Amino acid sequence: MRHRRGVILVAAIATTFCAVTPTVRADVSTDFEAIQSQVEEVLLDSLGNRLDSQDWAALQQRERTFAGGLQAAAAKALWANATAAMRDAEPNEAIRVAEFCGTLDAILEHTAALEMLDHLRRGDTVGAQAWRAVIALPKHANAVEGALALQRLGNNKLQQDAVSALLTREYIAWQATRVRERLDGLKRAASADRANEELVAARIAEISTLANFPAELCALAHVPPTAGKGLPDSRGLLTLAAGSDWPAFLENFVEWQTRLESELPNLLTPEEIERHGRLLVKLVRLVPKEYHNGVRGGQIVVPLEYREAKDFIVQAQQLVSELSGAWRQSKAKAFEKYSTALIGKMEATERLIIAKGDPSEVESAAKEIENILVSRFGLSVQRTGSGKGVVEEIALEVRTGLKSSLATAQAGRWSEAETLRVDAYTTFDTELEKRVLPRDPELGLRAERSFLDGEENQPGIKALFDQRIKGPALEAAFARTLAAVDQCTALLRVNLSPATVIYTVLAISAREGLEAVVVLAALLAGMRGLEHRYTRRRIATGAWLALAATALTFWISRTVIQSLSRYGEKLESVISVLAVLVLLMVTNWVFHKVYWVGWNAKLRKLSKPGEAGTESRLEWLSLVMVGFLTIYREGFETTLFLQSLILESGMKWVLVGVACGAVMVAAAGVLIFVIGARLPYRKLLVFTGLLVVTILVTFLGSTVRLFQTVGWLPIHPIPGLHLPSWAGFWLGFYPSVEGIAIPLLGFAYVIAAWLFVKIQAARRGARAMAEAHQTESFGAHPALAKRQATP
Amino acid sequence: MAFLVRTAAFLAAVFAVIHAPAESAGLLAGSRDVKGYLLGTLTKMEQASNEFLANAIAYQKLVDANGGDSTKAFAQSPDEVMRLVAALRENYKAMDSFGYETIEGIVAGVPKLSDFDVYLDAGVPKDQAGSGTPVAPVVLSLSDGSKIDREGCLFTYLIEPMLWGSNKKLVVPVDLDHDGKIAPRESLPRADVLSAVAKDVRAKIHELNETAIAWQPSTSDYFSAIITMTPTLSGYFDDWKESRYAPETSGKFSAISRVSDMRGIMFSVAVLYSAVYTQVAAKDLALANSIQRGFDGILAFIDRVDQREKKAGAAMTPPEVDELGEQAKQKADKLAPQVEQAAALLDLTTTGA
Repeated sequence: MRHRRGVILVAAIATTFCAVTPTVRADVSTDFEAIQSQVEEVLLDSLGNRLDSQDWAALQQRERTFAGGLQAAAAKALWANATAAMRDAEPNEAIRVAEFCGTLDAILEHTAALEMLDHLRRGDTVGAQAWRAVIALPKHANAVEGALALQRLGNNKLQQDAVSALLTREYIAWQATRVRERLDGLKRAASADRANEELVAARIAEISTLANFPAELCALAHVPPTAGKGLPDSRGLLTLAAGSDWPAFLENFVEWQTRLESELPNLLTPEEIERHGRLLVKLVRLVPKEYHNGVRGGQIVVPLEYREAKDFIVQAQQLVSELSGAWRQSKAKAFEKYSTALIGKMEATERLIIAKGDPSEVESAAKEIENILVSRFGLSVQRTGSGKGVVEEIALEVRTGLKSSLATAQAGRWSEAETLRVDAYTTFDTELEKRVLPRDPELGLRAERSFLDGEENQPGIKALFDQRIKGPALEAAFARTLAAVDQCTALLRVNLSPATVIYTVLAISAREGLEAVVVLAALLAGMRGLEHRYTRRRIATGAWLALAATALTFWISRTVIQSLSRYGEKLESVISVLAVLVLLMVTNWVFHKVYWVGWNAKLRKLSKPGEAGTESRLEWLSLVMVGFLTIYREGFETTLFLQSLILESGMKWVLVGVACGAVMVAAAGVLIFVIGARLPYRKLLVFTGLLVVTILVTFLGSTVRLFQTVGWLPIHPIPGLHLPSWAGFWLGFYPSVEGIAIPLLGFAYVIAAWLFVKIQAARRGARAMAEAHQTESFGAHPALAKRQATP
Repeated sequence: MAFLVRTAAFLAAVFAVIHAPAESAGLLAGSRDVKGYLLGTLTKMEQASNEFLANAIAYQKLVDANGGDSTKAFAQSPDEVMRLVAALRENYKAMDSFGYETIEGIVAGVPKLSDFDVYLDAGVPKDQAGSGTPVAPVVLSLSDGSKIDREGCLFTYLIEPMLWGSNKKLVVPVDLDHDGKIAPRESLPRADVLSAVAKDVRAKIHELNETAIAWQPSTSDYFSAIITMTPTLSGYFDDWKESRYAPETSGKFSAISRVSDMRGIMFSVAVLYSAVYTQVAAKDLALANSIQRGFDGILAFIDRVDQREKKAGAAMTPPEVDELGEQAKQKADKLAPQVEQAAALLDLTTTGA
């Protein structure tokens, strides 16, 4: 009773407010709400099969009154068109009445939008505000920008067009969302056996009318017109609803829904599409977590958590619906193939949640949805790329979220603070921690705990939130988390230390460059003198062409890799494997003297015709090819290897390393070719080969970390093992079983390969000696005789 | 014509207010003055908590007189025991359903008071803590030296389940209807727990009252509460719709339905809104009025359900329930972004819960 009195009082206050408002505003809201309220009543009556002629007549009367009060020509025409066919329905025609109500519901919104814009055009901001205030909004509508724009517009006619466009786009975004919500609502009602023919008729009429945005609005919002596009036919659905064939209805409805949604204007920018995609994956991941907290043994133990799980899956479905227009264009194949499965699995998960099913089932269902989103639609919670900028962006987002959470908690707004904490935590968990764990699991876990329960004597943020503790203790907890986030960011800021990058590039380019110089020197050694000048010139031409081809290869590979940059760390992982293969080949050659002896022999063979001065065109080309292949082979390897380093550490330090290597190689070239110095080639090659072995170990460590980051390798932390961060920067050792074992195995492989080559060579030598013993001349050779005498 | 209609409506409303009982006139004053309304309700709650404590002590004495055995006490003085239990239930309703629930929107939404909401009404037991669900820091020492340590807030997890028998830990099963069987919720409150809870709830309500007296409300406080509480509305209508099809029997909302709670919360939020209405109206009158009408529509929801059920002469059909829930949800959905717009126009923080 007391409540009833309260209602009367609040109504009295409201009425008082309304009574003192200027005429235009009161008329708008009064007439609009009067007809809206009558539509609601009539629709409810028609659904309950108790529509009386009095209510129906009242609606017809209100409809006429409202139509008579419209001022905008476009609004009048729209209203007349939409209502003419149904105006004369009889109250006993329940389906037609329901359709009429649905149409009126939707057309009221379009009419209000057109009137709002008309008033704005005429400079009547107050009138525009009045019409805007009656428009229906979805729950998460962003309406602030339009309100502020109207507020600031005043009499500034210059801004009128821009404000009109803004208001129109905002209106279309709201109503497109409402269309999706209404579609979901009808589907839910039908699948729960709560619909009847009248409800279907009303909702389909409302949805179809609402989705059919007037051409004037589409033009102002700069989106393709929806009117006249021919929205999908819904008559089949009404027939199925009339026969109460709900399974068939639902089957057809999903198809109709998909087609209708594809016709909705897409107002999302590429950035919004990416952001929505990330949010979608996050929500799907959070569903099982919330559900697990909210439901135990088929009972709701924490209502809020349960409701959040339910809300998250509904929101995820709305996001899919919102993104479907954009996906239809950008991910057409995936959409066609997997959208039905995706929507079906989401609905199944929602049903499972409503039925309070087993949390493990919800978890596996959510996992399946996530798999479709990630592997089929290419969505990721992580931002694309792995560069410093991305890490900085994520860190900034986490820090901002934490600071807002602290401020909100200190103000006592615990629920809001908790939401902000959860946002910051999920961003940290999915984007930073995942990258930190392979490098420093201890730091990653410590940072994570600081968001939650914390350590002994150092409670985490969540623990303090639960106890509603604020003040210095809460500030200290946030400071610990922020410091841990900073440490994580610092760790990720440089993937390899700049010195390591320079050392690696220098060693590789010096090694490969030197190899090219040595082979070239060996080739040219026997080609001194004027008679060989043409041969030398052709080989030199080939060498210069190879340098140009190396530069071209570098540019092409950069372009290809940049075009694949959306794959972020996955691309890095694949390129790293290629780099490791290059390194393995290089180290293998160090111990196989045969390789460059054989290669040298081939090149010498190619140069013979040129030396003889009997070259044909083909032979001329082969001399150029000798120079080209000698250099390009090394250039290609170096280029391929550098891609991985560029992806991980950026271009700057790689270029420094290349420059240093180029100086060294150029110096060696000058010494050999200009001064004619004889360098200890073999020792130089072995020394640089050993440098490459150290790089191989470091690189294997980095590749393991990348594989762990993208989830292709597990992480098994080694309890009690604390490696300093320089061990990762310099040596590529990260404190996990995989991070230590795999580089060491790589090293063991190289040693084993070297031993194998040595033992093979020794055996071959022994066999040759044994065969030599069989020959008569053996004893006569003094050197061999001496060797035989040696034990 | 429109002017005449409005004037007639205004006069009718004024007439209704003038001729409403004195209590309603008090509420009108309260809605103009949020703090006055809050203190008025808290005073009544404190009075109910005093009576609750007196009845709890009387119950304890009765049980003590029977060797601490509630079953014996009931066997000896069934009428007195049942009278006390009935009185305790009424005291509880006065404290919570008709008291706290009508100011919950203010207490939970105003930063300086929100801790009391966790303690009295919203905090969960420590083993149910999850993201967004704070643990109620309620620790009660019982006469035998044992403790009830953070097992949920006073109203939702302790008092209501104890008086309506939905938490076995807090009650003594007794065959109250003498049918030879003890039904699942057929029980009497544990006297030791009841006394401890009664002392604690009285102290907490008194503390809340003192804090409210010292509170200096600001526009920011009002908006903070409105923005925090308004978006929660949608969920209530979903709950209502679901409950119409499959009534929940969790026992936590036995006394008064969820929608009634929602109505109580919304009433206090509407009271808060009336305090900032003038400021919003100065910036955007249409928006200010639309929000006001939005609150009215939600407050009138229960009346509408009653009216429709009377009109139907029976329970509503499932499509009707679905549509009514959808209509209410749409009204609630519209309010949250509208309130955010109002806050933005007044240059206040717009981050809702």
